[in-house]
Amino acid sequence: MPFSLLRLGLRGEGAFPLPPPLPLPLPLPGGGRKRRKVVVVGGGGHGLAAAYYLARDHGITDVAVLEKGYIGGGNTGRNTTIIRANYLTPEGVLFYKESLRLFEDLDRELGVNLMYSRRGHLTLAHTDAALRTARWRAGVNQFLGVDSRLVYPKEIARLCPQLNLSPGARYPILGALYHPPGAIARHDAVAWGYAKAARALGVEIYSDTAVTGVVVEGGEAKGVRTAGGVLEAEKVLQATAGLSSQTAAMAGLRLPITTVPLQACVSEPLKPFLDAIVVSGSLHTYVSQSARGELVMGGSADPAPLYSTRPTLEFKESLAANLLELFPFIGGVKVLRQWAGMADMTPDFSPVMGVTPVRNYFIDSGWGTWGFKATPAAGKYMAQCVASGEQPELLRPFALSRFGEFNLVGERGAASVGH
Amino acid sequence: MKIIHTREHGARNIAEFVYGGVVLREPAADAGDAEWADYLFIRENKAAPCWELWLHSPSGMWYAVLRDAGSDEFLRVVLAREFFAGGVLTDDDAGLSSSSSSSQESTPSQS
Ligand SMILES: Cc1cc2nc3c(=O)[nH]c(=O)nc-3n(C[C@H](O)[C@H](O)[C@H](O)COP(=O)(O)OP(=O)(O)OC[C@H]3O[C@@H](n4cnc5c(N)ncnc54)[C@H](O)[C@@H]3O)c2cc1C
Repeated sequence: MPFSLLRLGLRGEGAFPLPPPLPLPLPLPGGGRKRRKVVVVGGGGHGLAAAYYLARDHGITDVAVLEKGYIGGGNTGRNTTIIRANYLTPEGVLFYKESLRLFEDLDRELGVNLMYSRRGHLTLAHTDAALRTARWRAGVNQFLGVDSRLVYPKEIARLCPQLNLSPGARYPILGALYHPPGAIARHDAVAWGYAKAARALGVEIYSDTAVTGVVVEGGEAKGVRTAGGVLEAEKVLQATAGLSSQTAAMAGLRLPITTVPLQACVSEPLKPFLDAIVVSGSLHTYVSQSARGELVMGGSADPAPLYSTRPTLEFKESLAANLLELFPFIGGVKVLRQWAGMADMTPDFSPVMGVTPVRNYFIDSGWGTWGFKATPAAGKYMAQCVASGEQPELLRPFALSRFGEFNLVGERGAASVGH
Repeated sequence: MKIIHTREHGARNIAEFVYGGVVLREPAADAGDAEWADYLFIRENKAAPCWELWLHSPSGMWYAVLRDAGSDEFLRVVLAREFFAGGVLTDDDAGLSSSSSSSQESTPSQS
């Protein structure tokens, strides 16, 4: 055995160096020190990324991230990891384009292998209406410098020969929106990578530490309550995804958000055969093949609001029926795991980010079914927002105040099935 | 498979029902922008019982359903027509029957 390998082995550092174990549970975060500059509620990818960029870009290292479960155990560890920028609105495209740019270089920056894998993303159109939306998206994308174009069956056959392109199919494929930079990545590694990099800069991360209240005095956030007592803070950022409404309510805020389960499942591992990420709006389904060979499959969110991560038979049934229309040959493949996450859905399928009516209380929410790809940009620009106390230019369209102004950012056409 | 019990159709598969949103009190036509924005966009979104509308699609009949968004239990299922006529409301179903203010979602006072 080469000596260097032995040395690495003894040092105990694998490909995914985990953050050192966290002291659980703490009487009071920080072992008695009762005040932090910034407290981040929620240790998912977004909260951890925001903490990292607060330290890296703004020199604010007196930051505590409080996570009620374990880091990355929320939607960050439950999503189907699709990363893309081919949205519909100029506001959305510019934001997601920035996130994709950050993602492409992220493993080098964090020093963790994110298994970022550029695959090409196909949004199939089975109807004239879907083709029209695809053409619209391609136009907006190209204008803003995002690689995205319309392709027709001949080219689709070249990009993804596995697809059932027969004109005799129940819903024949008329064309597709093709987005070459579309990618997938290892979701857990994104949370771990940001946690590790943030800790290296001095950020504290506490798992098993639920925030049970927000201290607001005179319209200004002053800290958070935990089982161990009050942790004072100059500024508070909430990044709690499916529980956004409940966290915001602690600060006296009401949100344009409904919590709905979103389900997904994976097949047994198969030899690599599917390069592209394939989405079909009409068939309410999408699929990609992960680095370990599992087919990662999902669809639209559940129909009704619910605080639950219980998967259902209905989902599996309709998913299987629709997926077989696209790939008839996978009929014998077994489903290995099925799960759900709680998605914080907004009326316009765009996030809610930035300042709130409560001074020094900031929000990163409304990420619904589409926020994994946004992790780097949401983290970076929310950090800027928290540091400066002002809404950054890139986040302006996504402010909570847009609802009172009837100024929505309608992304449904690009976000309801393909996350 | 989840089974929903209705007086009119007996025990039916949930697949026959289509979710139609939470029951909200529509603001007066001359209400201000803030009240309309609240009604259109803001949701209480609690893990608690809440009145909702569900369509039984084979029969085309609308139901008012008191469902717990924490446990997914269907606590009461009544014809929307009767619900809005006020005939089936009890004191527990506060909020909707009273002419209380604005656009709060109706969650029963206690469950
Ligand atoms: C099945 C599924 C598939 C998806 N597919 C995609 C996809 O392909 N592409 C994409 O871009 N997005 C996708 N998404 C959406 C994406 O997963 C989320 O938008 C994103 O991960 C949100 O990240 P987050 O860090 O904000 O939330 P989370 O990772 O959920 O983190 C929030 C954390 O806050 C914690 N928390 C909550 N309340 C408290 C409290 N009171 N005190 C302390 N901690 C608290 C929670 O425990 C949780 O860990 C999918 C989601 C699901 C469920």
